[in-house]
Amino acid sequence: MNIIETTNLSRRYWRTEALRGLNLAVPTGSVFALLGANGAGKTTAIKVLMNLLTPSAGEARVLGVDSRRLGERERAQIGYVSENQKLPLWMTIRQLLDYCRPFYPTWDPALEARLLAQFDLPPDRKLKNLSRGMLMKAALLSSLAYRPKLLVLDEPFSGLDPLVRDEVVRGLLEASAQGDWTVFVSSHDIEEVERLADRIALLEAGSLKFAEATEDLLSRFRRIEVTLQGGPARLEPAANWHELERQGDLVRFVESRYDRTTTEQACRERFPEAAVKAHPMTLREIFITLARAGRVAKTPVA
Amino acid sequence: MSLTWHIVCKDLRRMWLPVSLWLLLLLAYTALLWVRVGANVTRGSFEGLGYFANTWGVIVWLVGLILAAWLVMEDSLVDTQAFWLTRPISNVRLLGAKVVGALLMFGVFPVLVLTPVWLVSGFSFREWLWAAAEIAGNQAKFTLAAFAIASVTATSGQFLMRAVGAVLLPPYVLYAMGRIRYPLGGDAQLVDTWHFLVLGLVIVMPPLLVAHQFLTRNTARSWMIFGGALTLMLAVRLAWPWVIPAGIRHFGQAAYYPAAGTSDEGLKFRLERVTVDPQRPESYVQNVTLHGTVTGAAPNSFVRLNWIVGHWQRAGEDNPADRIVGAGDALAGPPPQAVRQVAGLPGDKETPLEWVVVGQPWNRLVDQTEPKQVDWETDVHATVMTGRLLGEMPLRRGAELRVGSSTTRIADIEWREGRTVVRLEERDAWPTGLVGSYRGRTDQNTERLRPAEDAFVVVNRSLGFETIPSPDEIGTVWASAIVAGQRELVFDPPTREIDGSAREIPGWEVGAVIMKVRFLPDHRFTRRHETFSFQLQPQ
Repeated sequence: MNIIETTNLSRRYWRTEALRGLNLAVPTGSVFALLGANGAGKTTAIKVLMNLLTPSAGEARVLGVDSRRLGERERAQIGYVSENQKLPLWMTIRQLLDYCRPFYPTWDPALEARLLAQFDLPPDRKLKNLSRGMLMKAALLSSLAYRPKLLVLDEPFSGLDPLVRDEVVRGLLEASAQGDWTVFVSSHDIEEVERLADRIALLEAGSLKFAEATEDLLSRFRRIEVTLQGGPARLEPAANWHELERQGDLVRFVESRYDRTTTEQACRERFPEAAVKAHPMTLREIFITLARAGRVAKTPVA
Repeated sequence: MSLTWHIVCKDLRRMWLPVSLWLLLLLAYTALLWVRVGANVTRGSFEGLGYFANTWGVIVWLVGLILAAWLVMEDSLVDTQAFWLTRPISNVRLLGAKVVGALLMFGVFPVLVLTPVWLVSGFSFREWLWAAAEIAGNQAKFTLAAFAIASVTATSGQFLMRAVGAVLLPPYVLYAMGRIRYPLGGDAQLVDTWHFLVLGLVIVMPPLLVAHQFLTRNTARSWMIFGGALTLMLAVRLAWPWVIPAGIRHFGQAAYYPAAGTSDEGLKFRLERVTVDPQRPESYVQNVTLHGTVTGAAPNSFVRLNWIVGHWQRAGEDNPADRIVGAGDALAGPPPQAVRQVAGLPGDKETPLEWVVVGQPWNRLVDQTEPKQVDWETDVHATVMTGRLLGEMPLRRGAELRVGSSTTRIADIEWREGRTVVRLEERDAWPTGLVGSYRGRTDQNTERLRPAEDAFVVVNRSLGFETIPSPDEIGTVWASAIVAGQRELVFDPPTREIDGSAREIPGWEVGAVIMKVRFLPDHRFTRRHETFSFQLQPQ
């Protein structure tokens, strides 16, 4: 069962195509991260999902409803936090919570009190007097206290110091551990995403590069080091090799479809007398590799 | 508590301070004028008071406009980062909340704030009701305009720019209505049709735009609605060839004629002469002045001619010729005969009441080269003004006549060049809708309203002296359904023959009183197809 599904979803801004035929499925109960460089189309995708923008083509279904038809009932089950959201800054945190509470039949005052304490938020301070981190925590609190089925976070860690990031991530992890909810987060803060997400999708120039379980992604990427020990060497990349380079006797590349047998066989074909080592990669390294690969692909041939 | 009301409360909490200040401004504006006018303002400072009232009135209006826009933009319909968009608030609920909020802030609250002033001024319940309706109605217009602009606007800077740009709309609309650069020799009914259609667009477009933007948040399409309406207006002006029947154009207006068996049936209009302005034979339009009389008015009333719409046809010519639309002359005060009747003074036999209407023919020039017999067909639109005696007060400085919301005080009495000058200060309830359609009949046209007209009679019963002086207006200011002003009554005092010459009777003012008579528009009517025949003389 998918809580979010998109079919050939596209969105144009005049001549710029911000989203191109996006096909995405977010399983219920997952923590799904949408990664991508700046301008990749993450925020546009989220805005279309939340019906803040209408799609130019295709369809998005959220909680089983066409995103263009999201009503009060569906929105009462969705939490949304964005770095750019314009909160009512004239309110105090208490006023914000008082304002939000009646809209949500599932609002949990106990959870509200616990999160207020956990995030260490001063209830009587106006939002305009809060730091960016506190503001984000206040927004998060107002979106968690009703235990939404779907929590959508658009760049929630942007501009936050490491301490606050950690607090936010811990808050999310704790909250998600208590309920059967889905988190859909877009970010380019990969370390935090790695801690949170069990599924990851990568957007590049509005197109989906992949969407898979974090575990699968981490297991299929390896940094390979080949130490040449004399003999012939053909520096010819295979289909899934990226960033191939040679420094003296050392050949390095990133394998994006790592399978021990297949990768070693491909290495032996090119470097018959060599020692092959495979190193696991972090999500950050994978992301950078893919981002570079995307740029190379876009570079026009002279 | 409904969620809609919850949003309204949020907006009230957000805007309580600016709205309170605005209401204070409105109250101060009204109260200050109320106080100042009663403080024996001199003739010279009245002009300044008028400027002050107008300027402050515009400021109150502008601030109200900005506040209404703020109310909408607090939950922006254009900005995709607005907080409400991701909360369980439907577009319909938001529209409902904003409408309720606007009704409260710009309708109910101003009325509540002004009510003490109105009560102190002696307003009756009926006058209060009309004043409240007038204030709320005026605010509704500005609020709707602010809503229309703000609903498609993202920032306050944009709003201000667009509000300033909206100043260009009235001339555009007037042009589209055919009221600017109307075609000479054109079909007046066609121009009237344009007016009708464009006015319809002007009325329909803002609420349509607001409703569309709130319900769909499709800003591009909302702008298309706006642009489409403007284009349609221009298209009407440039390409609409069909005349819509007068019964549709003037619904509720042309339908009313003197009811059978009423006193209006006895009214007789007579056209005495027609003069064509000889001074401007080559001018853009010529003034055609119609002089006539009316007789047969009921006791205590007179007939005020509002306007005439008609055309004349020269004998022997088939095609209908020039059409004249003219406004009645409202400057002359109530006729003395009617004033005397109301004041209970012995009167003369009825003398015909003169009226004058000045209008312009739709064709460029009137052929005046040779005398012609002209048949004149017309619709006469008139209002029956019915008078009542408000009361009387002794002729002495400081004397006051207070009847309901009408207060008249003698501020000063002086003698100037052998004449007596009485300076009066007056304050009245003056909701336009009330004085314009006093009986509030549903079958009357309330589109063109006529103010009440006052007259004064100075009487010394023991001397048998009575005179109806022409009031000389010093100044008048309006604020929030209250009118306050000053005027001078200038008249010759009673005299008697002493040593062969007329001398003022000493001490005549002791025992003299001033009676105040008010004529209110009782009802209006249209009389169609009166045919006059007259000779158009060569100039």
